[in-house]
Formats: sequence, C-alpha cells, structure tokens
Amino acid sequence: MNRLYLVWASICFILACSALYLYSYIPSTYLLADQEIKKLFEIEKAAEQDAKIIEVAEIDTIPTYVIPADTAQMVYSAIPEPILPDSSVDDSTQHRILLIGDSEAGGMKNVLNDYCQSNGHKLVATVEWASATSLNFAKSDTISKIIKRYRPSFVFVLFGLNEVLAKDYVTRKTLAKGFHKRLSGIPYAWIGPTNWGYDYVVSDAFQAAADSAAFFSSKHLVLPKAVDGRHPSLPGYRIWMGNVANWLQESSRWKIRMMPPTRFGYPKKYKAIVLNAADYRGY
Amino acid sequence: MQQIIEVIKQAFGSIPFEQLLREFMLYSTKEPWFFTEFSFLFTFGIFLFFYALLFTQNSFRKIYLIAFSLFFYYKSSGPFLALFVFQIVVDFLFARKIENKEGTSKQIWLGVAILFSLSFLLYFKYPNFILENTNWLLLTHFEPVDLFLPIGISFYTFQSISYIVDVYRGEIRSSKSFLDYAFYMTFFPHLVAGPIVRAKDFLGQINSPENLDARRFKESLFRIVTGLIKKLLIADYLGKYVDMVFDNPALYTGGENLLGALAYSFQIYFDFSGYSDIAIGLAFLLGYRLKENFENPYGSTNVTEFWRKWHISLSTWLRDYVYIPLGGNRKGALNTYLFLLITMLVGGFWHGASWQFVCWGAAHGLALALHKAIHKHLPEGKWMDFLGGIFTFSFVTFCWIFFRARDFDTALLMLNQMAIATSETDFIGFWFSRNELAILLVALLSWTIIPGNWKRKAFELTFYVPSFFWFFFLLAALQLIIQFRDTLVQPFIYFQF
Repeated sequence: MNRLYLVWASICFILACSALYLYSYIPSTYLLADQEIKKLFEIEKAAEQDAKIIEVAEIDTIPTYVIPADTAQMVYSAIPEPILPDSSVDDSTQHRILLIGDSEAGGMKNVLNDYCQSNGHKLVATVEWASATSLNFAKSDTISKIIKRYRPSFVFVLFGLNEVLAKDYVTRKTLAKGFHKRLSGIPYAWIGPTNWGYDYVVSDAFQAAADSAAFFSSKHLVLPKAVDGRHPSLPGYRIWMGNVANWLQESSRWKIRMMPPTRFGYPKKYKAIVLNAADYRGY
Repeated sequence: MQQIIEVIKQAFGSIPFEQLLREFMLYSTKEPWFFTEFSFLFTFGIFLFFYALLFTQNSFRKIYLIAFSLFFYYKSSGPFLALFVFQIVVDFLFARKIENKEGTSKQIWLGVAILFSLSFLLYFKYPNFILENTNWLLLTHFEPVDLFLPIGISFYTFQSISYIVDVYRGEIRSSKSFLDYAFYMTFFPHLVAGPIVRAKDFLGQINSPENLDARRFKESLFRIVTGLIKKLLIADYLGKYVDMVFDNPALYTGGENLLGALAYSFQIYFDFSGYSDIAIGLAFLLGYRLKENFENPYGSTNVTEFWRKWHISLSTWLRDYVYIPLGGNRKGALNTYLFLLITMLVGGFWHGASWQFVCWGAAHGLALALHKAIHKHLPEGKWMDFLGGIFTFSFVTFCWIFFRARDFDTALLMLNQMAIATSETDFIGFWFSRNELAILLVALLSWTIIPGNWKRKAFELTFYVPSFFWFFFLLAALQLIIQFRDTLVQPFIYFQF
C-alpha cells in the first residue's frame, strides 16, 4: 500500500485552502496580467453586505395596521381648479408615457390613462410592482429593460408607500439615486408616496435624489382611502392626479400638457405589467 | 521574510479560532455543507491525512469514514441525521428478516420494508401535492404544510429500496455486518445527491479499498477539479441568466427565451454532472469506485440512448426496479409502451411533487415508447445520427422548460414568446449584449458534438504532469473559481422591435 499519495492529496487540499484563506488576510492586492487576484472573503463580504441591504428593505415594509383606519374626521384635499399650461408647453407634443411604480401606480394607471388620452398622449405601458421598495427599483435591471422596450418619451414614477416608515435617509437617498440612473436621461415626473402621517424621510430622500423640480411631494395631500386602509380610493387617485397635473403644467422641470380629462373611462390600450416583490425581487 | 512573518502573525492573530470552531461544529441552515464549500475542502484535507494513517486498519478505517460521513450529513441536514440513522438501522433489520423468510411472509416483509422506506419520502416530499390536489378535486380547504425536505432523502430511499429488493430476489446476501451496511448507506461522496449506488456494486469493495497510485491520484484530483469548475463556474454562471429569463419570460424576446431554455439545458447538465464528478473523484481518492452517472448525454442520437447516458444511476434503477418488474418488454408491444410511460412517470414524480414533473416524465415516457415503436423502421447512417442528435437535444431542451419553470403558465408563456416573438435580431442583440454568455453557449454546443472517447484521450494527456504539480493545478482551479464566481451576467440590451 502506497499511502504516500493519500498524504500528498491531503496536503494538497490543506495547503491550497490555507493559501487562499491566508491571502484573504493580506492587506495588499496583487495583479496577474492586469487583473486583480481576488480574495476568498471578498465574495463572502459582498454577500453579507447584500444580505444587510435586503434585510433593511424587508423590515421596513409598512405593516397595514399602523395606518390610521378611521379617517372620518379628516378634511380631504380636493381636485384643484385646473391651471392652464405654462406658455413653454408645446400643445402639439404627443408623448409616449410609461408609468413605473408600486401598487399605488396600479391604482393610478387608469386615471393617468384618462389624462393621457384626453391630452393626446399615449400611455404605452404601466409597471405595477406590488410591495416593491426603492431597493428593488435600484438593484433590478428590469426597469431599464422595460424602458428600452417601450421607448417612452416621458416617464411617471410613483413608489415609496412600502417604505414610508423607513428612517434611514442616507440609504433611501442612495437607493433612489441608483434608480434615477436607470431613467437614462428621459424626462420624468417623480411622484412621492401618499402620506398617512408616517413619512419620516422617504419623500425627502427621493426629492434629494431627483433632478430639481422633477419630484412632486404628496405629503401635503390628504386623500380618501380605499377599504384596505392603505391605498387611496378611486376619488383619492383622481384628487391626487389633479394636483400632479397642475404641477406638471405649471412648475415641473419637464412641463407637459395635462389638462383634466373630458371624461373618465377611456379604453385601456396600454400594456399592464404586474409584478410582485414577494415572488419577483428583480435582482 | 520579516514581511511574510508579519502577514502570518496578522492573519492568525485576527482569526477568531474559538468562534470558528463553534460555528464549524454546529449545523447552520444558512450554510449547509456541500462539496463546493471551501470549509468542506479544507476539512476533507485534514480528514484525508488521518484516513491515510488508518488505511490499513480495516475496522478503524470504516468507523472513521462512517463518523465523517455522519458529520457531513449533520452539517448538511442538521437534526434529520437522527431520522437517517433510524432508517438505516430499521432497513438493516428488515433485510435480515427478509432473507430468513420464505413464500408469502417473505413478500409481506418486503412490502412492509418498502412501505417503511417510502413513508419518509412520501411524508416529507409529497404532502402539499396531495393536499393541493385534494382541495382541487373535493373543494376542500386544507392549508399547505411547511415541511423541510431532508437533504438526500430521495437518493438514500431509492438506495435502501434497491438493497432490500436485491436481498429479496437473492441477488445479494444481506450484510451480516451492520458496520458494512452503515458504511454503504452513509458513504459521504454519494450521500446527498447521488449517484444512487447499488449494494451489489459497493458492498464488495468496502473491506478492500484500492490503493492510491500516481495515476489514480491524478485522476481523482482531475475529477474533483473539473467537477468544481463545472458546477461553480459554468453552471452557476449560466444560472444567473436562466433565473432572469425563467422568472419573467414576458420581459424577454422569443430569441432570449429560446437561449434561456438552451442555457438551462447546459446548466442542469453541468450542475448534475459536476456534482457527480466530485463524488466519483472523492470516492476514487478514498479507494472506492462509483459508477459513472453521465456519459456525454447531449451527444445522444435518440431518446433511448439519452436515457442510457443521462443520470445513469437513476435510469438503471428505474429500469431494474420499476420497468422490468412491471413486465419490461416481455408482455407484448403495447404493454411495453405502457410500462415505459409508467416508469418515466415514476421518474418524473421522483424529481419533485408537481404536475410539471409528471408532465416532464410523461413526455419522456411517450418519446421512449415512440422510439421503441419506430426505431427499426428508421434509416441508418451518419446523417441520420446527426439529425437524430439535433432532434433529441431539441426535444430534451423543450422538456426542460416544464422541468424548470415555476408553473405551467410560465412554461406556456415562454413557449408562446418563442413562437410569436422570435426574430433574427434577437440573436444579433444577444451576441452584442451578452457576448461572453453567447461564446460560452457556442463552446458548450461544440463540446456536445465531440465524441466522448476523444475527450477522454485529451484528459489523459494531463496525466503526464508529475504528481507534485497537481497541487498547483488544484490551487489554480480554486483561485479561478474565486476569480469568476461573482461575475455578474452582463445586463441585457433589448433589441427594438
């Protein structure tokens, strides 16, 4: 019996693994053919870092029970009187519009469709990514792909409801900036989440990440709620959109025509993409 | 020199040995132990050193290997180790009992033993499938149960059944030594993901492991290294793209869906065969021989040949314990087709508790039956082999869609995308946006065409490398894995439609 090879095999495994472990502890990094020789723990550290970020996103998803259910005493905002478009708005421009957001975008899409069709724009697609937070929007390349596919000339962004309890301003701002890059310079209107009295940092963080005058904060609006106690009701969405439309025509960075629709209930010709962060994290 | 000493001091000084040892000894659901873990490879090295010392002491060697195998299973499955040990003890006693019985009582004992082995598999793997279908059929409202599937249960259950049935048939004598039986069942290289080892192939080797000479040393290491590369570099790399496409096929063009299915074909092959390579290499290093599990299956010219070369340990198990007992080809043509279908349905159901797997098994069963019916009428020749190869690979890839997709709707959506939204621009776009992946797919396709014996001869050239240099070979392979393991698949560029 030649046990020499068994011993040599064991030494091969022990030495090879030890060498790689030890290299991970060396502060300096070495190059081979201009490529950095990576360290074993770098992979593990990166995985740990990702896990921490994901954990943040998971724990700050807003629980329904903290949203006040009784809003009978509230004085709701109203659909404002329409403001005529700013003189810089070209009435003849017909935009290809894409709506991206969480479940609130799902509620908003039909109202936006009415506004678009009434103003000569075309709502080409909507992405309703239920339960998604800025983490999903920042890390996933799904939105980039959808933008490339539908080639919008204007994008509506609406998310944040699932993270209104978050208090980590810097993280939210970083994630929002990550998402902002995915818009690839296309004109957009970024609408902040509805405010149920719990928006600590989200709207501010998003505003800081967006271009100046491209973010519409919804914090000041008091909207009628749907029976789930979490989202606006249909009248709530109409009030919301009315306020957004005035801002779009008057003071947003990229002004577009958005007069109130002549009627509600236009045919739905857009592609509705529905995702759920519980099944599809996107990265 | 001073710098090297400083680095070692720093390295060892900052390693929390106590904490590492505690973590090492405990089972973690987040980090179950597999062959691909560096901590496993390091521990295996240490284990091997003492194995070399105990090699000639038969009983000590067996006990030592069983202990390591049980520790390995504990690190992979935690508390389910107790269940596994219980099953080993009871199956051993059943086999002894069956051997001493005759006639009807022997059959009854066989039935009880098989039912016992299967009961664990049924309990852990199929309850939700049964509940869902009961709800659907009887309009009941049973809640799904939350059960963790013990790792390797499908493999070791089939293994114990084969042992009991072989004893019943008189093909082997039941093991007199519990140590030998425990060794066979727990032998860690095949424990958690096969190959499914048959007692008649393995029990005879237990007391006389083969010596490790230079050639065997090199071949073992070669198998382990290629297995690691297949799994960690190729399969995992392909997996990133596959996951994206299968998660949401509607976001991708027909061409991208098609390439997603193709990538999955290779992913599953390199994943499975990589694992088998490591298992065979580890066993070989320890002095034991496990049978090959894959033999260039994608080079098959028909479905029957494919199943002779794909997951061989499972397909031969199904042949010997399902197809032949049903009647095989002894009861007429129609029955043969039916038995093939039933056998593959069992094979599909073994893979997982869902109708997709059943459907996948049925498709293969029908294809096997069809081939059986027409193969004598098919023309022969090199061109027919070539066309048959393309057809077989396409069929297998088509079936993998149902195997991998989250549900039927997703699978149908993918097929729909392929049928209605495929154009040549998809492939041009794919080439420019993911050229690394495209090159890899082309290389893998070319690889399947090369005959198996050519590859074997090419591999054998590496055996001229002296044993001493194989350390560097192993080190380079592990560094290569670290280097490319976390490389992200390049983002996709959708081609305009």
